[in-house]
Amino acid sequence: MSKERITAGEARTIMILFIMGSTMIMGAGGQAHTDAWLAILMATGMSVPIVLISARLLALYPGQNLYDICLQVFGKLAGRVCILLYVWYAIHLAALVLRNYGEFMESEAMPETPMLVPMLFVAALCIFVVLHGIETLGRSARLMFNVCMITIIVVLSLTLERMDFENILPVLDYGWGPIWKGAFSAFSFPFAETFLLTAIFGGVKDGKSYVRILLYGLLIGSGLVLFITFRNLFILGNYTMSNVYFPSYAAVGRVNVGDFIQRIEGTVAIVFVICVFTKISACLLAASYGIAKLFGLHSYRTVVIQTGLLVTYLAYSLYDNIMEMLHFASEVYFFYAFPFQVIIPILLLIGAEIKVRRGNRANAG
Amino acid sequence: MLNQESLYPSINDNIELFMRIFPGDSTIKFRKFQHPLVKSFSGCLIHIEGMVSTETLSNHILRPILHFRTSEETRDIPFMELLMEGIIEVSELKLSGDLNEILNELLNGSTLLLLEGKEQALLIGTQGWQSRAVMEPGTEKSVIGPREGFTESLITNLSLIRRRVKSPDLKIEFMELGETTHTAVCLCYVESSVSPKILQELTKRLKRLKINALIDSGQLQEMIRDQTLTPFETVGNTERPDAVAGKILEGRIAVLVDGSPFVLTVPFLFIEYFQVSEDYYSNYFFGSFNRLMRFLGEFLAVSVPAIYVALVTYNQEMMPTALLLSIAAARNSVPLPTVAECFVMLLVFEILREAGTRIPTSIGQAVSIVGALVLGQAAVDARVVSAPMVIVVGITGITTLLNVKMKAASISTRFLLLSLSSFMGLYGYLFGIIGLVIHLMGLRSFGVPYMLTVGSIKETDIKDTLFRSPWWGTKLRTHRTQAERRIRKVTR
Repeated sequence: MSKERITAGEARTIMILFIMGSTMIMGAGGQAHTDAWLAILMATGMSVPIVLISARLLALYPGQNLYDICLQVFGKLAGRVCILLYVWYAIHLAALVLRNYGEFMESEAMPETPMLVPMLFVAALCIFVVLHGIETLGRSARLMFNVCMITIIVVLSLTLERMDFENILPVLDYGWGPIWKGAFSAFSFPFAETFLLTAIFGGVKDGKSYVRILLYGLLIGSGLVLFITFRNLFILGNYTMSNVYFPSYAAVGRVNVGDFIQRIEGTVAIVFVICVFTKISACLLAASYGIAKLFGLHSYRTVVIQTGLLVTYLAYSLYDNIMEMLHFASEVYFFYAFPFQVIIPILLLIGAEIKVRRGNRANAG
Repeated sequence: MLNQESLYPSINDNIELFMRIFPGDSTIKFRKFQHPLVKSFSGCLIHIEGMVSTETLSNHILRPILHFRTSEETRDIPFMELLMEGIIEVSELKLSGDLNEILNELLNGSTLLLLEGKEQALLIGTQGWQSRAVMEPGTEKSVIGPREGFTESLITNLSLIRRRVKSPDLKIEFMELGETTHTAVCLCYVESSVSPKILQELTKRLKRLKINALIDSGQLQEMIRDQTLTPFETVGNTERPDAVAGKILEGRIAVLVDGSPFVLTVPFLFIEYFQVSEDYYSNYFFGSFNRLMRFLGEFLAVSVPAIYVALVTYNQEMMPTALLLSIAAARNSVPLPTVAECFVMLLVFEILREAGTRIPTSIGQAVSIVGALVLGQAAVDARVVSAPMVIVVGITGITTLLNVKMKAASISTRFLLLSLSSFMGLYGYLFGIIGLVIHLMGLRSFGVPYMLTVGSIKETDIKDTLFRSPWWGTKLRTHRTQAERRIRKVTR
């Protein structure tokens, strides 16, 4: 098989898990407190255009990924700079997600184990799957997504008795200010990051339905994030939710069924690990593709291990403590990621539209 | 090995030639004959004792020759032609002058007929050796369904398949493998449903093989695999003709090896470990239930020790307090740490299993008695191991036996997961499972993804995988050919 291809369903699943990624651990739109759900809804609405840009680009250049499109649109030099930027973004994003996971493990699950150990394990798994290629990633994601769904549903049924639906009130207690803040944060944190997937979705079978793949992926993914947010809010309430680092973990820790099923937060970690694993793998794949493109390598597989280890070390040295991480995620990240998520995509789209039109006219003439 | 290319004209020279080729081999039998009436009609029959049917040899070859009466009409016809056309009462005849071919046929149980003055030999198909009767297969028993199993004879095995698929669509291709053993290997498939690409690939791989001795299909199974570094089989084997018939009707290819009662089928998918032919013959609720049990059993077989160790040593909070206390009480004054205890007990179980397989039946009793002591109440009473560990090892052992064919994979996976969970608790176990999923998803069997349809929850994909849906519930033809269409789709 010359070119590795995944099916539309697999691409959609990767996208869903990508969105769930570290959001499952950290929660999204936390600044909006009780109205986080509103912030997530708004962020979803805002990210629809980004997803449409991504789908349009993929449809304009069938069979090519983000890096090929960069080269075609911006020319050799500027195209390479653009590739370099996205490679950095992919590596950094992977490191951020890995660090989220590491912090989670250190502060909640295994306080006495050095953070590097669980991070190395996850990184090793990601390197392993990326070496196998996107087909294996797609198929694994398909199976693991079902496992995630089963876990979420089972946990939901166990937590139902702990839910207090009054927790959603009062709506708009703090006014629109925090909601907008939360919405922008949620927009940049999980949703608009999906533009990076353009780099690995170049070879989707029956590529005509890119809009459907990406839009459905976005909607299902944000639906799940929304659902988890509601669950945590109903269980924990506003006060607790703003006082824990990892709301999902805290929420599920409250389960107690007949003194037999209790303290099952370990099972939630299944979902965490799967989502984080998929997200880092997708980023690592994107980074490796980009490096291979940048240096004209025959196969991206030769750089996977190095890049993966680089991601691990970067993740290990990103912050000094968990407060710094939260500060970066909620205050800085939006501005940092804005060029990658909005500006360059828009430039790319405009350039691509002009190029393709001109090409068509030249062909017709 | 031979510098001689053909036979000599003289009988005595030829006999000497064969004596030179097989020096001191007293199973090579020479029978010279001389027609009582016609002086010029003399020759020699050569065969190997034990490989031919003596009844055919004496009653249908030798007797007609000696009783032959010449007449006016037959006088001018050469003797060889007479023999071939009229005298010998055996259907399979061939004239050959190539010494290599002659030797091969002789070793394969044919009888050679040499005539004085002729440099060619008549090869007479007199094969007749002792072989096992068709019996119930030992490794794949079933309560309902056919009880025939393959034997060591290739021809018998082919007849067992052909009797189930009576169609001219059933194609059979022969080839020979093994430079010394000259083992007959046979491909068997249904032409209208086989994927030509897979057939081509299989033929290519078989042709490419350089092998000196092919004794059993197990050797072939390992040599034609896609990826060699995995405990999971990507080429299937079975002893049941009905299973092979079902599989070739689904578009798979069967590879039969002479001398082996195990028939290989390719491509082999992960799900086939769990599909047993009995599922299709019994009630579909029961069949589906048994299949689910097999999935559950495999999960338990690889996971129970790992999860137990993780729960006891790392994630105690997930266990109910009462249970945790009773386990702690049982572990009181047991010398080894839980992980080491688990490894030791699993190894002991594997040793007992291996001993039980190899032991002569007359002293089999001893193993069960000793086994009950080591893995039982006596060991617990002596405070060598804890009682929960005996239960864990017992569950592991019995569930491994649910899918006997997966044994290699189960054992290696179990020890891997156990090591990981002894290192990082449930998280280590989870990492192990994800790694396993990646490994399985990356495997291919003749270009077909090994985990095809696993992970999909579409109705058409789980009809014959997760469950066994009733025969009437689906259009009769599409049901069994689901797999065929899927395989074709991905190898297109």
